[in-house]
Amino acid sequence: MKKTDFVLQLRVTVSAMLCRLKLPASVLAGLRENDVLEIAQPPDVAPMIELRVNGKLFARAAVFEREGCRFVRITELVSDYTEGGDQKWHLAKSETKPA
Amino acid sequence: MPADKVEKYDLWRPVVRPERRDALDHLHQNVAVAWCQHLPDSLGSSATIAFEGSSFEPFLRLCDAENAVAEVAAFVLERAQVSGLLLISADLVRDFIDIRLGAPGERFGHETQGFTALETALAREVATSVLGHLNHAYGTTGLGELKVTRHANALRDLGAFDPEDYLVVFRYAVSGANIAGRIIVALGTTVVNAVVDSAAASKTVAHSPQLRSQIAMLPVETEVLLGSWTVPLQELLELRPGDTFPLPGRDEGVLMTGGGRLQSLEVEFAPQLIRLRAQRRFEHHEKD
Repeated sequence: MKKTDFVLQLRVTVSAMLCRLKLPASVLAGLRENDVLEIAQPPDVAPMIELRVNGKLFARAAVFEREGCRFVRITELVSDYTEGGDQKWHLAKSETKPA
Repeated sequence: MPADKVEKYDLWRPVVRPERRDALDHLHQNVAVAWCQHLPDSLGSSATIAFEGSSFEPFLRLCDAENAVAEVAAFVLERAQVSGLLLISADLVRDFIDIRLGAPGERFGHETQGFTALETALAREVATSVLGHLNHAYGTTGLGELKVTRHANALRDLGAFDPEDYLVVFRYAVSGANIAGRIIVALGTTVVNAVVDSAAASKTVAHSPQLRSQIAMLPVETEVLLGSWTVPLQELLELRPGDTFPLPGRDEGVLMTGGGRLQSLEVEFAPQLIRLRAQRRFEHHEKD
């Protein structure tokens, strides 16, 4: 087997990162089942994700749903890494008490 | 040190002893805590203000870096005879106004130039509250009473400093529910002669009963993952823009902190909104 063929068969972990949030430690500590974090999105734009390979940004993609399944469409393969910003969020606490 | 962090050294740059600089940093860290604790009406209850650090830079460089519309106030510290300024970034002013008027979240991605008369009035009101806590901190440190001399909507219009005047600049990042932006406090470098060294200041911080609540307010970086999977490099090589493929799982997601999984999530995409519903908490902050 050629050296390049061998390299191309190596397996890597791809992660789909939806967003980055900066939350106060107290909010994280108090997060209970069914609490909802809401993140505003611009209108008429599909949610975007980052595809990371072993933690490094590799591509950006749009998320869409079809027949109950979630798909991504690659929009950009990234060669220059730039860190994205944090997103704004809103916390809605659950009405039900934790068991 | 990364290349982009290396700055040219100016011969006329003021020399400041580390103890004095630490004392100023401690003072301004405590100001951030005071703002978080006493301004919930303006900031929202879950907002955090993180002190990002201090730097020495000429007024001209600060003007170049902060050249957008903002709420700006010039002040003097009477006893120390030091001039200073406060800058609240335009996005933060608009978030303050949204929170005050009860209409948060309507301006995502729709920044406009300048403020209306009502926005200016509300921005001045917020700036006055912010300066009030700054005044208290400076007063207790012996720097004297803070007197506002001028308000403006741009640093260049302030007229408080010459372009080449060096300033000690303290930067804060504000983040939280429906709020994000920057606050900058800058003081003339003569302030370093008016503060006591940091030894006493650091002791008072270490024994402060507010430490626990201060830690609880610290911002934690988190990421929301929709899933992860393994592929051979060959498949990545063949990927092209426009290619589509399914994600693992249906509506699952994971909240990650520090590379470990904290909480599973149910992720729902609604028009103009993503809802992350908290599910199971991972027992031992499992590594991914």
